Amino acid sequence: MEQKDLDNHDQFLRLYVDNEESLRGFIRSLVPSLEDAKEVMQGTAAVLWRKFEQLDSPDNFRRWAFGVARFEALSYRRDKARDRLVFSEELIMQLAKEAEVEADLIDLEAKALEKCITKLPQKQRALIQQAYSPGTKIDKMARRDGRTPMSLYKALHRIRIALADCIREDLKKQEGLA
Amino acid sequence: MKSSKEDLELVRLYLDSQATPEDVQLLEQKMREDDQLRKDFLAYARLDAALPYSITPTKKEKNEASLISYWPVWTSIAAILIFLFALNFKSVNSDNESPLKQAVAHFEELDNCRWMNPGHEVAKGSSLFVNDRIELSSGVAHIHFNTGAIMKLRGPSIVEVNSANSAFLTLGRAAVIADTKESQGFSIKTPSSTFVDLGTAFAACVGPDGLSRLDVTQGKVNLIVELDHEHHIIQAGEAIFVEPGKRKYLTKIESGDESKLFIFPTIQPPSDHDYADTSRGLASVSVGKGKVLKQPNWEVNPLSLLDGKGQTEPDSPKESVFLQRQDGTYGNLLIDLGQEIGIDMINSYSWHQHQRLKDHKNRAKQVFTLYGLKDEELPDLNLPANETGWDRIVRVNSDRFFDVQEDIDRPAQQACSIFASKGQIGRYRYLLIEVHGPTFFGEIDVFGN
Repeated sequence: MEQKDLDNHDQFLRLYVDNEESLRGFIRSLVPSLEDAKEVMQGTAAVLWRKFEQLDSPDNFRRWAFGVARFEALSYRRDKARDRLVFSEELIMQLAKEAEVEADLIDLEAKALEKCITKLPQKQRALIQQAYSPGTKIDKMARRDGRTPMSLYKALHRIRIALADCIREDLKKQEGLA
Repeated sequence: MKSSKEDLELVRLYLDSQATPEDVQLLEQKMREDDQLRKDFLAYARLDAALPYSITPTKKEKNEASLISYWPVWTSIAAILIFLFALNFKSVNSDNESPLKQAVAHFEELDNCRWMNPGHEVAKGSSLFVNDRIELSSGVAHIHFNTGAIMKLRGPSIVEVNSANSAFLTLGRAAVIADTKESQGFSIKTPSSTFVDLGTAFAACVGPDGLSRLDVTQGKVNLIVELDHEHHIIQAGEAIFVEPGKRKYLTKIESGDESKLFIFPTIQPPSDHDYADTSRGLASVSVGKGKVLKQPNWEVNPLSLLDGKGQTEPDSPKESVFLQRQDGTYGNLLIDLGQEIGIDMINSYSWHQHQRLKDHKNRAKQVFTLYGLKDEELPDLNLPANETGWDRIVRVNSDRFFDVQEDIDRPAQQACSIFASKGQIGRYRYLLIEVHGPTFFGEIDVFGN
């Protein structure tokens, strides 16, 4: 690899790593499942790397990456459109616009989430850890725990709502302190 | 969250992939009119995306123990390994000290190393702990694991130490020598698979887009794509690509014996027993976009790609399907299987060696993207396949695979074999080969039923 390529690769990795979390959150807002988000994330990373030389300035990486991700999510949506389980392009575009504005919150939210998880009762924490571990299938997990998948989905929903509220409170406090 | 319980339940159904078409329609209608619901939807989605990377129970301990840097990505995967390691550790140590605080590896030689975070001071002998993340910008770092496994990490690379005998390679290239008894079973996990050492030496490589590559130099390696998939034993001298994504596709590329018999180490020669062979009269090939090379006195019928044999000579344009470059692109080849079938494997073969110029074998390289389409109306083949509903199966670049730096390095005869890590590649009627290089294709075999 030539020095120029190495420097490019190096710079790409830095920018990608710095923005990966917000990009992941952004993409998740535009596609229906975590698995779909992973697919779109990989497609986005491939395009970003392939077209990295077209980036005019590192300062614009996030905006550029979000633009590519939006395009990838829309293209993914078109592939899935026939099963009628996806939003319309218009709504996705609207969500993308609003998600981009809120993307600045992602780093703060991630810090707040760390704190909020520790505040969960041990049982809930264990449940969410198990549910979000790689390869976990909710149906299988429910069967193993002797409950219905629906009751497990609902329990996870309650925990996520609690976490979302906790994050919102934490951000509010921080805003008050600032 | 300020939205009503009912609305949040709709959000959950959608994001948990539990929604019916009616639920999606109702949620869309509500979200179009309700700013707060959209705000809550976005917050919920961001939380769902962040949770897999924030759930490890030991963050505090890890922060205390971390030497290089801490970063939450992949920790969910690491959590299982940490747990297993912790169990194992407890059984052999009586002091009950947290395994996370135990050094499991250390740096040895550091050749011209530059780190992504210039503030990190790393020296020979520096210890590495479970969940330490190494972000090497350039140079080569030698990491010795306590089990005796040695990993040579070449920058730019990002790797996370999972245990005394495993690591997660997020990006970049790592070569492993695991020749002690304790290090047998050393594993490198990548975003698409796990490579478990069964012998002595292998190299793993992960691209920015998650495409993983395994090269076995000595002994053998167990390739585990998913726990419930078939395991693949990769022997010394073999290499394989694993595509990321929901369906895991494997690509093997090999160089042949440069005879008209097309003999390869493990990939079979061109076959006349495949589903698409012309003798069966079921499939056809045509040029979807682009032009096949032709001369005033001869032209090649693309159907020869399905005739069960490769070229009979090393430089034989008359026996090769060769798409000419036009406006910077080569075009595509469409295989119509006549009906939707389950596809097990697709093999492609190429051969080119100029008679006098030893290093002129440019047309042997195979660079293409393979797509599949079910039995439905064909989209416009002049438009990019990734924008017109085709499923991308794999990307192939044999020059990258063989690490061709000079033309002379390129094998003159090549075969590429594509299959799924579990079951079939998929059910398709059409296959589209989007060609990105000047390849002399001799044969394409499609196996399935």
